[in-house]
Amino acid sequence: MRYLFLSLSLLIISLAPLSATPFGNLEDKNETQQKAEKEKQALKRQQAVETKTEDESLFARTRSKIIALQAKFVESITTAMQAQKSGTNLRWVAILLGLSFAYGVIHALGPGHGKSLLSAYFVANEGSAAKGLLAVGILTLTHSMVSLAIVAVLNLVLSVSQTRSLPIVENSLRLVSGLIVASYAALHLLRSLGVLKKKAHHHHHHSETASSRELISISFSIGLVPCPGIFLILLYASQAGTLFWGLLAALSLTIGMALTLYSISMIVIFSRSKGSQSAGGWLKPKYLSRLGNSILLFLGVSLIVLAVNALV
Amino acid sequence: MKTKILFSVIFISMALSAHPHVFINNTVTPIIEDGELSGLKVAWVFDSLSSSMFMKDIDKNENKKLESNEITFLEEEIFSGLFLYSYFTDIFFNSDSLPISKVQNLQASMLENEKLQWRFVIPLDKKSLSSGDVLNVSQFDPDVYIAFEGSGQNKDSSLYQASETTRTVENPTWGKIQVPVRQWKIK
Repeated sequence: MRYLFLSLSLLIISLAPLSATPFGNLEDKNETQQKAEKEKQALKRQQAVETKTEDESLFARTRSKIIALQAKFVESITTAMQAQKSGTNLRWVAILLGLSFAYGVIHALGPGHGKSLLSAYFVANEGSAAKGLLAVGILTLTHSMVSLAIVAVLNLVLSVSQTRSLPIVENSLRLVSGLIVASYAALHLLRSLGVLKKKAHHHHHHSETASSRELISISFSIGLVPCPGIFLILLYASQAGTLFWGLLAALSLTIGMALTLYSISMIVIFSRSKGSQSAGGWLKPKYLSRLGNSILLFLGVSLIVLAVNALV
Repeated sequence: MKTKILFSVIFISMALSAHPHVFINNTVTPIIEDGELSGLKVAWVFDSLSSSMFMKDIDKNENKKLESNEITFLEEEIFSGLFLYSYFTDIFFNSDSLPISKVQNLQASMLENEKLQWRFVIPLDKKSLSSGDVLNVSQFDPDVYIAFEGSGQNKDSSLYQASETTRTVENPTWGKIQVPVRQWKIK
């Protein structure tokens, strides 16, 4: 029970939606839309400040400190990249790689980056250390490679506005990712509930045990949403003429993110196996599968809603 | 023990979940002429990464300087939309909230450290000032897409005494964060 609660808490951590960029042309919206948007934003500010000023919790202070820390990280990473321009210096290489790795660890703890989706997957399906590694590897690599591809396309092939095209590309991919994940989860839920018939060869296996092929495709789909952190670093590097070091920093950052994601996945995988060993009742694999897939479905639909809201 | 560690992981993750994409070092100065407050002078300096992203869009001739046509492009295509967000600014004059009008004449330049700076004036309906009046200004993004990092830069003048406090703001999904509030007390 305790473990199940822990897994659920982990899932809830990163449900915070990623917001679209506020930068843009006012004239893109007609007057009614402008008015509606302005009211929406004003209301958001209003709600934000309704908190009593005296309430200066440790939480708020810690969070603000971490935001400031992230700013320092970003600045130090660019400084370390710039330093390579005046001759490669081993100390700066170490600083660059170390900083990028640490930034990756922190960055992946923020909203997005597939944490909740992957965790939900491992609630639904029995995992193992190797499966976790495979899933995280595929997910983070896709996550980073997609960012690299976007920078390459936006930067080298087209000369379109980066500020405004990133949200469009990001949300289109989020839509695709959401559609795949939601349909996967819906399909499995319906099968588990007996609405849809299982495929013939499933009869010989535990249907809750994930096949590697399925694991790879779902991790790939989750990873499709690009990583804004890597995007910005690569974009900076390509413009500052330090692309090689940018790629190296991106790789190190990816490994950092993978570490965070792997730790979270392992907690979920471990909790699930402990939980289903120790208890019967509603911790049966069948119910865990339904629970995990329901969460996946919810998250997938949330991704779709988020993307459509931003795109329309 | 194990549970404790896991709960710490959860706590830390939640504390970390604020996730700004853009960092701005901001300064704000009130404009006071003939004893009347007429607006706020604002300067935003962007972090290296977002400076680079904006420059890719704005600096058409890639000379790392901003000419007037490039600034016009910036003002129309990137900056003007911020009106809908009230330029992320809250202004209080003796605890009355002041409305924010559209900003004209954005100035932009690339600083020596290759950071992009925007300067603009938020116009206010003229207010005559008397001794003891208090003006409070805070800039923050409730979505934490942008983090405003400028603090400790508020300076006194012959007209006012400047100070800085913090205020806790909360977003339903992001939780609480502390943002600086600049205060000017008219002498």
